[in-house]
Amino acid sequence: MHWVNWAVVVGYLGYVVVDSIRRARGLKTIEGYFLANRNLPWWAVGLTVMATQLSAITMIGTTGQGAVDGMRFVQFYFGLPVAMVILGVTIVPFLHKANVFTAYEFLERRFGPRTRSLTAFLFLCSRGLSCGTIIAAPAVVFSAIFGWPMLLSVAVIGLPTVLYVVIGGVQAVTWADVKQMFVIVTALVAVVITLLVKIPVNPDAALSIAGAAGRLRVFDFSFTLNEQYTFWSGIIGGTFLMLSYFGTDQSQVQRYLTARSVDEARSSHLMSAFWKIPLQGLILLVGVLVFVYYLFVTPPLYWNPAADRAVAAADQPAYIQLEREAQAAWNLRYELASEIARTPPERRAVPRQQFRAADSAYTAIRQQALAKAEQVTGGPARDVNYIIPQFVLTQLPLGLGGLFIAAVIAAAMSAVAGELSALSTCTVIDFYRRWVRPEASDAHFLKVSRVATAFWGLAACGVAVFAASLGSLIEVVNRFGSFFYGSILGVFLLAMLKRVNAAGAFVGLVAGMLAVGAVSFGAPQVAFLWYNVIGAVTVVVVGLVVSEFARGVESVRP
Amino acid sequence: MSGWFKRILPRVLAAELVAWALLALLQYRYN
Repeated sequence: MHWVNWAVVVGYLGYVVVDSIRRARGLKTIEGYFLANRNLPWWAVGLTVMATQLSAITMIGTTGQGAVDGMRFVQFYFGLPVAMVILGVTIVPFLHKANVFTAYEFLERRFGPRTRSLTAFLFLCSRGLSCGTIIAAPAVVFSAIFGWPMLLSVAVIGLPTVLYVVIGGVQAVTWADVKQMFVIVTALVAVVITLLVKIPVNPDAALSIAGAAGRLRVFDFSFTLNEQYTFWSGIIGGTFLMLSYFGTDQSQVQRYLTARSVDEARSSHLMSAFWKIPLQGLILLVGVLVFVYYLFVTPPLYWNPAADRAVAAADQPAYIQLEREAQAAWNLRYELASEIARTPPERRAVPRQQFRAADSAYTAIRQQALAKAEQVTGGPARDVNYIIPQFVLTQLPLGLGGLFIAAVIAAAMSAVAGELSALSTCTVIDFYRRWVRPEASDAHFLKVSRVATAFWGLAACGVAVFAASLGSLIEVVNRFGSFFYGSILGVFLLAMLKRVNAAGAFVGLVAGMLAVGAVSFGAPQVAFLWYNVIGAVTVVVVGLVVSEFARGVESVRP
Repeated sequence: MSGWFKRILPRVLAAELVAWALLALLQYRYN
């Protein structure tokens, strides 16, 4: 990468860290460290809510998905706006008025310490590991592209983040997120504008070509539990997922607990309700336009340079043969894409059909090349994650490449910072202060909180460094995590019903997790978005039944 | 139902419908 791009990246990282540390002045209480004294404006909280949800995986993985699979992933977010409104009249006012530090603290008041400790423990396990994967995903890409050792890639993303979260707490996290969101949106808009300028056909023809390749298919109304992204899984499963994530996951709950009032907390959520779908559409559109761009500029055989080197070294004749076939298929597709652009819109049907066939032929050769890479390297090629970084580094004007890399790091940092702050809060409030040392000075708790943040930060970096060898473990934990996401939502819903007691909530929670586990292993073809519906509904039904039963037993007892 | 809910829900639904309409336009105009 050119030194000007590096200067942009280093300048940005330095500015974020220094400014965040500056904001830590006068921090003396854990209320200030974990909740910014509950005094942040709605717009800053709204931006940090969006920044925490948006990770580097979104910036490089989702854009890459837009290039190879089109816009349909946007359906995943269709349930979000409705979920935000439901939360605005249910969990948000409940938790904000309860004056708690964590969502799980509220559960103890309602259902006792057992339910609180179990939900908090589940959160620590799943988020502790997922925090590592959030760092690992971009670090793997940086390692492959820049030739860095994994340790260095992880350090570049992880250490500045750990530093400003340890020193500045949630105040630093929030104001860093405000800047990060600004950089992310600026970079995305700049890349879209650059693409529209650089693609050698007009925008209408570019979209027509993308549509012919199926990249602009958004809606899938088929009602099947097996398809990951459909309109119905997005609307129903997505609503439950977003209710769980924004309503009960400490990494999001902590964000709106920092707002000045219930109204400001609700308003912060409305920012996501109004802007998440357009933002996600913009992210996918970047991928779609990159796809169109590479119809007119020859792409490499492999986007992942490490895979490219490995195949070339292991089997040179096969590599040359694949490259030759890919070039021939690309040439034909290029001719037909140009033909569509030259033809008036009303007469494009025939060239579009021919183009579709040529695109399928080119895709088939790429599939062969990927299969070869997987055979040589012994692991999944994950080529899709390298499309956007390669485009950014080789095709964007000087400075803009650096801005985009800074935006990818910003996205990783903002997601990790939110998680670290939440992990530390949960550790200190739900375990240390609850079970180990209930009474101590604020100075003591502040010191312990900083140690907890540093511990989780370094643990996340450790997980990230060994992510490749921990691959199957992380997958198991992620899968296990999906078992209780909807179930925890179910417990919070039960907490709002007066007739439910502690036994009902605990048995309901365990039943919900078992139900999702049974579906996951018994019918693995069911898409994961439905797990949240199954979990939440099971918990509520079992919780209500057990509570009624327990009350009946109590009333007949002499 | 709270006043906030009654006031906000139609606005959020309207925004979502506009987003869907734009996405549908993209899909049906160019597919």
